[in-house]
Amino acid sequence: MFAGANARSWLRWLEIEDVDAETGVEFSAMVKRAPARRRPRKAKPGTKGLGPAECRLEQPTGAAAEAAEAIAKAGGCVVGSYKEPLAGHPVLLSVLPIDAVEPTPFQRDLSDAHHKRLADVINKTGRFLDPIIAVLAPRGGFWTPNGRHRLEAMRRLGAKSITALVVADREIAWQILALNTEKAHNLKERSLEVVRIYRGLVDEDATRPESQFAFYLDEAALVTLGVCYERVPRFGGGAYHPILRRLEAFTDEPLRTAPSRITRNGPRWCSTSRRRFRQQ
Amino acid sequence: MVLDLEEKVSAAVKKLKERGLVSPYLRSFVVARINPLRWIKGEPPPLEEVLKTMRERAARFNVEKIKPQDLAGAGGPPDEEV
Repeated sequence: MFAGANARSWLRWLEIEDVDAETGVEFSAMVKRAPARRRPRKAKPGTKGLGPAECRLEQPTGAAAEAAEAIAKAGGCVVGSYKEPLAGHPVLLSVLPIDAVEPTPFQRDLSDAHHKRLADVINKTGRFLDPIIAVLAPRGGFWTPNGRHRLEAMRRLGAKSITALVVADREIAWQILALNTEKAHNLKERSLEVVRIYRGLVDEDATRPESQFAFYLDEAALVTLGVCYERVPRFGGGAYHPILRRLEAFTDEPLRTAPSRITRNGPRWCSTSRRRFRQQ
Repeated sequence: MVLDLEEKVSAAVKKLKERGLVSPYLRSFVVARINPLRWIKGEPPPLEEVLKTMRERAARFNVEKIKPQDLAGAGGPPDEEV
């Protein structure tokens, strides 16, 4: 190791407090480290929160009642109320006039591409199923700390109203980052998900045309990549994705036969992976 | 076919690493070098042909010609996208 002045300079650089007089190195008191982040232990199953019956909230009181009044005043309606099952805070499931809801002013900028894509997806499904979270805004109306893109997507589609989980506690508006901890899917996760969906569709009814499910499967390339990831978990799919995306497309062939002739043009191709996929 | 190609690309990446080239984008770099679609503007050839060409190019990939500065301009998704 180091000795003498050399060791001392290194240790000074490492912010080490004590140095052994004999060896010049002190291993015990060493580097000042940031305290480890402690995460609460995993709780025993079924030991926290409320049971289903306890979550029932017939009549909101206090701040929740005030929120219900504000909803009615804004032209919305409360369609249900409950205590959320972890800590029992009241939540009002409401339908709000879309013009009464604004995103919290301090949240991240709107992504043009994302909200348009979201609008396309909502339009295709024909349903709005994922209520936004809303709190009472300080000067009337409502703020959504987590739902800006859904709100804009619904506006884009010309909706009159939007479903919201109205939380009486206004402090939730400041917890934007905590509310947005959902992890986006990476390529591997998307591919594996798509190949599992594909398999499920084949099991259900393999005579239907593949192109009918383009919406569920997103991209034909993901099916191929999914098969590759299943066989080689550390497959570097990111390098091949642009090529496969350009060359592969869904066909009108039945799902049973489609994996072997999925290219946009040219002759049949049947990769090792696809052949294996069909056999499974 | 894709996995066959991946094997050949991995071999080229290994050789580059042995030559002391270090980058998280080595695989993307090799794939970009052997990708024939880079120069095709119109309708692309069938996937089977493209993969065949790429496999052949990967098999005869000359790592001696690659300089560290070539890698500096390489980008794309990191190899281990997990």
